[in-house]
Amino acid sequence: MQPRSNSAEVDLLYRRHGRVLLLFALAITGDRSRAQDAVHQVFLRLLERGNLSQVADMKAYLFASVRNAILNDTKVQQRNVVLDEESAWFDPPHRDYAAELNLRRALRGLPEDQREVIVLHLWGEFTFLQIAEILEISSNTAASRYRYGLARLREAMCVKENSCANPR
Amino acid sequence: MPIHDDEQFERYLKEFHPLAPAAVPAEKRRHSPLLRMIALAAAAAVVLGVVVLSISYRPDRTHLPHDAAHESGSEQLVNTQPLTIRAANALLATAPSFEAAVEEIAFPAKAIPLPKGEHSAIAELGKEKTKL
Repeated sequence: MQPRSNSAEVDLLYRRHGRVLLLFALAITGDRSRAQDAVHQVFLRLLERGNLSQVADMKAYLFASVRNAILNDTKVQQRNVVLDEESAWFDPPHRDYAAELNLRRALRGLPEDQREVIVLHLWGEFTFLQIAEILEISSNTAASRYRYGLARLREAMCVKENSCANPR
Repeated sequence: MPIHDDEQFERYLKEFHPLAPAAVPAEKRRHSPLLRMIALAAAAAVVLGVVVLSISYRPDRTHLPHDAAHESGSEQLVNTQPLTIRAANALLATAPSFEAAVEEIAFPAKAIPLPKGEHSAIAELGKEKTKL
């Protein structure tokens, strides 16, 4: 039987990282149900494990696990990823849902490799070195993908007048 | 007003908070393989216990209900105790001869209780004095 402490620790990890993990999964799959399934799959596996202390960087491990779960699933399904336009990804500031849609569309317009790095660095707060380990790329590649991605994102979001709100 | 500074733009983007995922389904938690294995092991232990109990408490088939024995009218062996080495040794010690002891072991003489008012035919015949 799994120790009670393991379950409590997994619950804490879920509360702490669940949001960004789901966003990361959404950025890869584009489909909310598949993204959620991948996140759940990883946490259920964690619950089955007796001891979590063997993992050095739990946060990086979670993101890498979610990505692997999605890639394995994609291999099985053998289908192209189509990003879902309907479901929201963010809780926007000041309930500005138009801005949320604008951001989501801009993210959707990015290549997948840039979108992954943007999400991991901006919302996951990972360094480029950590991102490099998660995505199995070099840190220079991670940094350049981020720069290109951010420039494209800004261009896409601010192409219309006032489409980028003033930062507060 | 468009944002030209990267840091400013990053701060703006961070104001968007990712939505929380749904809770991990409780039913999936309950049916984790580890718990399933434990449940199976517990079920197997219960079945094994029931089998062992049913074997150890099986009623002795040599016992017949008194009424059935009486109604059949024939003598039945009522073997209430199994033959043990101790019982055999005791018989050998007390029996007048080895043959008598073996006979007693093979065909134990057990007093069959008779209903009140009835007598054993053999016992009655034994009382008769016959002239040869």
